[in-house]
Amino acid sequence: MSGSKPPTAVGMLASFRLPGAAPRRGGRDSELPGIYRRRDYASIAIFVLIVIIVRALFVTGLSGQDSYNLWLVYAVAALGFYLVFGIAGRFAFSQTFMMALGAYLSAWLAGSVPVWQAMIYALLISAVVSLALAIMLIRTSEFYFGIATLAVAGIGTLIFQNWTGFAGPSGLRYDIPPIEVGGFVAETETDFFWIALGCVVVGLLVVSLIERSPLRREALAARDLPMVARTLGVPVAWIGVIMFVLGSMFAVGAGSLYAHWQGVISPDTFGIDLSIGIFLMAILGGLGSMWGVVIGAAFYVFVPQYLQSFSQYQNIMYGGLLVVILILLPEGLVGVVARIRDLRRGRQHQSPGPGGNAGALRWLAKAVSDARSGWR
Amino acid sequence: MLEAAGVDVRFGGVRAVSQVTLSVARQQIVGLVGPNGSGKSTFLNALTGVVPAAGSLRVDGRPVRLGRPAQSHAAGVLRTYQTPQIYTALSCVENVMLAMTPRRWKGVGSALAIRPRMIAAERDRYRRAQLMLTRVGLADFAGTPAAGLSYGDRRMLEVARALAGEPKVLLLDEPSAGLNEQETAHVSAILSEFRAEGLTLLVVDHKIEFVSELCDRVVVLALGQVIAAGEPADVWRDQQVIDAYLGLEDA
Repeated sequence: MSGSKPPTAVGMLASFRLPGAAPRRGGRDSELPGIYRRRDYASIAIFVLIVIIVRALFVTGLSGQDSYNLWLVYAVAALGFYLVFGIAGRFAFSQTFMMALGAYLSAWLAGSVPVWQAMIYALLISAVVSLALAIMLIRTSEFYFGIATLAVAGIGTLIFQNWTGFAGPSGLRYDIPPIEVGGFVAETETDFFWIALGCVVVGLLVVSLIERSPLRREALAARDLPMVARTLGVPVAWIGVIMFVLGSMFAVGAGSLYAHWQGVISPDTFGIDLSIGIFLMAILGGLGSMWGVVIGAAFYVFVPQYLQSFSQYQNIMYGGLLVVILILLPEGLVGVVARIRDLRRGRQHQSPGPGGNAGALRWLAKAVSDARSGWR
Repeated sequence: MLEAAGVDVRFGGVRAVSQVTLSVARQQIVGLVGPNGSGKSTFLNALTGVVPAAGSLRVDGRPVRLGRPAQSHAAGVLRTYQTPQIYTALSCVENVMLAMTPRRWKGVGSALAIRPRMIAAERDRYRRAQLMLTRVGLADFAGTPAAGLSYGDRRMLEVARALAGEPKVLLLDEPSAGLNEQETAHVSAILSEFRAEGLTLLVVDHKIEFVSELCDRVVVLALGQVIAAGEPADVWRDQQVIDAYLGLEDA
């Protein structure tokens, strides 16, 4: 057979690369699918710079800093939702339950161990909890999964409200100690900003590594045509479980960050409003790439504040804006960037295949028709 | 190579496939024909675990449990579908890479922690996928989103994907449907080529000439049951087959 060369020692060495190293252009990288040529590390670096510069120039006052940090915390949770819903196509309403679990666990554990340890234990314990949940829900799909996770969130809220020993009276827990790492105590908004930014960067890196791996391909396959994926040997159920656990870990991290930042948590902090909010972040920002949910989280946090000047018309304005964006920008805010880039290059805009909003929404529509026809 | 015995598929009260026994010898191409609704596709669905079925299946002498897609895949049974089932969200080469075995370096651990090994495995898969695309005539489409392919190309992509899974037995559901004569000849040539290299094939199709030319043996299904089996030329002369499927030729 022509075209295949036996691997040489030099070739094998050349293909070896450190995990953190930036992908090289051309050369042997032309022998990998296009997604591996995405320059995520550069994008993440630019993102960090922009976040720092914008904060230095435009973010003033305590409430401004508070919102800016809230955006970063929500971005972490939303990145998890991007993995679960955007890539794996599982409509999880449990993100806020996982946030609450992370928050209460690490607040409770912080009573006996240092905060950074409490946060890590909270992550590990919740990983087990989310794994158990995912296995319990392994046979549910699409809307049934959505409703089951909604129920889990509801039960979670009840537990946090009533288990006084663990969550405090009526789930109100205060005096949660701030994050402390090696003598550095994150007491001010600025201190916490750096920690939250660090967590967002870790989140972006993890998503980027997942996307540039066979896992993304198989998750998309399991999402779009599960039965076909099974006949190709893709472990559909296992991929659903692993993506759910990964995505839930993001929420747990976000919840425990929130607890140690604000010092006070209650079940309302992680209520149904935020569940819908996370979905909004994903749809508004766009599920075409991980940047969509980060932009969507910014929209969710900042836009209502700017609309406060409209006083009693605020909610109407916000609702109207949502509708306009959903109609005019079917790929979300992040779709605008791709559209402008394509216009400049003078080519027709093509909707990005892998799980743009159109993809996720088409998937939802298909889920409805499948549920109605009863074929699974 | 493939021995299916007493395969039964029921949908409620309907017996879509009843007691079908069929075997395909190594490197043989067997055609499965019959009128619409005779259970041909359902039979392929049963063999690949897509629908629950009773009966027994042996591949290469080893028993395979019916109703489990993963088991059929592990036994080396791969397939294509009547309407090409490709992943439009993925590029062509990624579609082909999906089916590849072994499954090492595909998990979350290697994605996050053992990347050099994972990347090396991906390069290897990419190279094999590219080779397969070249063989079915889609060499220039590796990076193209599969959504952009024509119907005929989608079919070829599906064939390439199934072949990339290194099947022992390849099941094809109407590989010539929707293709023009030239494309049908192309498919026929490619399949013969792979057979020469050791592939075993079970082909469901409607085009009599296509089946006669390609297949060593033909099995005819009607109302979920086998009504005839044998060499194509003999089967076409069988009165039952003429009554149930072929009808009378004019003149």
